Amino acid sequence: MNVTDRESDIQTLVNGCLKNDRLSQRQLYDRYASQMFVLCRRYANSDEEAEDMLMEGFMQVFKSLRTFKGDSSFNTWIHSVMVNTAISHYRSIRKYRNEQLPNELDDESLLGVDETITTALDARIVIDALQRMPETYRTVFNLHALEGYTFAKVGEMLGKKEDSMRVVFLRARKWLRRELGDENE
Amino acid sequence: MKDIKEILDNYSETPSDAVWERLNARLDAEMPVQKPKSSAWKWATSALAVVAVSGGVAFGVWKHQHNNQEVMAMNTTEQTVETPQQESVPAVETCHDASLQEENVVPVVETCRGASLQTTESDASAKRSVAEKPNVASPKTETVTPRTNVRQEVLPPNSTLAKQLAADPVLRTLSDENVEWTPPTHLSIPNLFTPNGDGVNDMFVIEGLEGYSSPRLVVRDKSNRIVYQSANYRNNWDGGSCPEGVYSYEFTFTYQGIENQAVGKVRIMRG
Repeated sequence: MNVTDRESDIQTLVNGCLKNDRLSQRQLYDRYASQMFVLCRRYANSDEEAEDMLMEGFMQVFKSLRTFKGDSSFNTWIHSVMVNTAISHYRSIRKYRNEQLPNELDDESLLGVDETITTALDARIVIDALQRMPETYRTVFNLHALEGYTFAKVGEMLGKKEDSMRVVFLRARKWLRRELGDENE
Repeated sequence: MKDIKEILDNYSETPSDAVWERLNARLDAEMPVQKPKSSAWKWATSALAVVAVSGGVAFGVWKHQHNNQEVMAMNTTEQTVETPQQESVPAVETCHDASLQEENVVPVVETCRGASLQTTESDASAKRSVAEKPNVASPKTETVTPRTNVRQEVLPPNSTLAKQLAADPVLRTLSDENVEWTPPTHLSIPNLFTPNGDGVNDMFVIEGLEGYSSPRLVVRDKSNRIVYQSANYRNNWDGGSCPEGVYSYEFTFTYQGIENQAVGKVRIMRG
């Protein structure tokens, strides 16, 4: 199947979903659930929380499908809907979870660190490590390192200052390196 | 960090089936699918309506054959839907009133008036036989509107409007002499509408209303309580919270400073 076929295929599914056709919704879900589940796991504390997030995200997808105009690929669109769901989730839990960020890390030592992790990594190990990460580290790390948003954009999304996002990210990365037993730490 | 992104981008993991089940339950709750059952029910209702109409047509045809042939002259419409209406206009008075209305409200004057006069005698017998039927005559029966498929009850106004018109020297003079008095539009009032949100015939629409000034509408239930009124009706009454049933209306409209009134009955059906 070439790319064009796949896109027109998805457009057919989208059209079905716009008519609230349950079968189309199921097919669209089946098509993206695995990929989006990994995304949700990256942002969640646990698999249960990731499943809640996934369900919430798909509800948003079906409810706001009319706003998908085809300007971007559907993949990009559904990805951003899921990320927004994760951010809303982060905001809602931040209100009642008193998060303790480790403060023993020396910011100076974070600068100039090699960008690569040399340890052979398995995705499940990375995800498990992310799930153990403090919420704010995890969210900022996801948005910047994995979603590719600039610090300015991440700050805007979370309602924080750009500079503090940079610091949080560096700490998060250091935290992760240590957690993954990276020898470059 | 690049490696982490690559590793994760190439990884996928299937969530448990419970996620879809919960999602499906939420979709059912928040975005319910139209049940085929209800559309079948609508079909059944439509079928009943069709049967009712055909019954009316059959009855009308039967009566037509046994009563006056002259009625045909009254209205030249070929629409079968109109047949029961023409035929079932039973009362001498009513028919006469209708003709008066047509003189004054509708430009098709001559034939109708002639017809009503001719049919007076035979209609009197018809009235006796179907007296209990709540028929009414439309001021202009030649307009067939899609929404009034079941129009056997249609009938505006009987006496009130007719008497007013008949009593109004100006209007009578104008219409009698057929002078330059051209009514702005026909006025057609339905006998039934179906405010069920399907986009078809959801409103009580009086066709031609925009041609008159000060269109006032008052609707009463069987206990004569006012359930709706508007001093400037804009064809926007959807029945409100009124249950199904027959309601009476008074529609008052003004043309060239002269006020007229049409009264009749309308049925609300919520299929």
